[in-house]
Amino acid sequence: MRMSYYPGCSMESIAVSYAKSLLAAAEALGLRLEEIPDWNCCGASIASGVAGGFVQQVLVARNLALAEEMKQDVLVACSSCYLNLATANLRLQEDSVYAGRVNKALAVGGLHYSGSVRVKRAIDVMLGEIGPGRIEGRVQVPLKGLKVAGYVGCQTMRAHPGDFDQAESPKALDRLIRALGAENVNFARQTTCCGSSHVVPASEVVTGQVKEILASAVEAGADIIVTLCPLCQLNLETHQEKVNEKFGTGYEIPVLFFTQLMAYAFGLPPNTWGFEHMLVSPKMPAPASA
Amino acid sequence: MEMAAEVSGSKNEGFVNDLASRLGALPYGKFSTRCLQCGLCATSCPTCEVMDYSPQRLFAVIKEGRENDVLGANTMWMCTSCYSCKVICPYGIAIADMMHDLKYLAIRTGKCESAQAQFYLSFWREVYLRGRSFETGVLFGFYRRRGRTGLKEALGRRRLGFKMLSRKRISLIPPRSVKDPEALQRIITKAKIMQNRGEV
Repeated sequence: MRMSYYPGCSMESIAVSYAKSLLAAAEALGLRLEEIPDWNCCGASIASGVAGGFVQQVLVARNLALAEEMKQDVLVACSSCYLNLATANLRLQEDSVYAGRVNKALAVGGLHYSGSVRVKRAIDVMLGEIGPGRIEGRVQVPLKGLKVAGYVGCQTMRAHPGDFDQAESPKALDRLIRALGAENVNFARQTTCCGSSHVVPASEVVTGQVKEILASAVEAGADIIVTLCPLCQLNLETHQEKVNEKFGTGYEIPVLFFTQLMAYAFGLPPNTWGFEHMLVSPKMPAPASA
Repeated sequence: MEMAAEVSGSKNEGFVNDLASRLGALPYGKFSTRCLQCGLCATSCPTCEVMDYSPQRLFAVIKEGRENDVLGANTMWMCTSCYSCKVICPYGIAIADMMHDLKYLAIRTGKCESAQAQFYLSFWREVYLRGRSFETGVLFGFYRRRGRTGLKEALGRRRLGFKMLSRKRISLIPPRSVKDPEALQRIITKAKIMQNRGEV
């Protein structure tokens, strides 16, 4: 099976461990991900506020036009990139007048998008297309005894509520955690916002949000937090020190991407786990033979 | 499914004032006249406490036509785009998306002194020039724009910065840009012209 892959800017920097482990875990499951050549930034939650909503959707549509030439569905891992690509795609597929206007702008660069691409989240592809059975079957190092808080965050399931998982009480990430042999813990702050891009202009907002999430996960007995969004991972990991300073707590909990758990549990080479990029190193269950 | 119907079905409904019509010309601004004042957005909002007006209250101030108060408020800038409000709104108002339109209107009106607006401008500059974002570039641009405060903030974060550098999570060298940034800029310029003419 092949799919096109839209990495997005974070996957090449702050979330490089997500990219490494995603590509390797997908390959191990027989899914080859082919990067969209010459993709551009989706504009995150920011471009529309500066350049306007239409400009941002044109920016996003350029990626869809490039993806269309590959004649494959597109997998997106970052939640903000997914939100933007899926939202623009929906509008372009359903509103032909609007699509005509967007294409008028794209034509300046010799591009056209006719609406044939399907955009999917990485977690949807893993569970919906590949399936928990095949994931379970691929596990070589079951994560027995590892208690995992599957932190879903905000945008991932709220972008288009109900199209894959429930927005209020998502189940997919927990299902995947169990397929890897780990135990998912139930914690109240599973979908509480991490504070997102306030990490730069108003980091105290992030400190407050992260404290609630960490407290909830740790009180539920989690050894580790796993997420599916680059910014959630960044905030939950890098703000632990700030939370500890401000609230007198002693949090030091690893925060990984779900694909890192997959690469490890599949028994893939350590250079695919991306653990060397983490600020808090995870203690993983050893393989049975070791 | 949802969006096309939402947007086309909401045109020019409700009250009229200058602010509402300026907002109405933007992709999600049309929603500004449809609020029921039930307050669910405010109760679901993670940053409501630090906002000048809660999302619910902001709808009321828009109705009162108090343009300066609306565009000068920090409400849209404190929004994290978490989409709780959009999921919970019984009237299906895309509140978080409307916040983006309000930011755009605020910046167009010259209200860009907040840290968030400076961050947005710095981010957009990277994307416009290179077609891709580059964290270190965005951060340096942001701190430079903030002057003395920025320098203080940058120094306060240097330890984390070095850690991120040593773990190869950020870099001082920009990643590759799109192959032809000028071609992308021509597309953006065309889209901007269409947007300004209201051809969207």
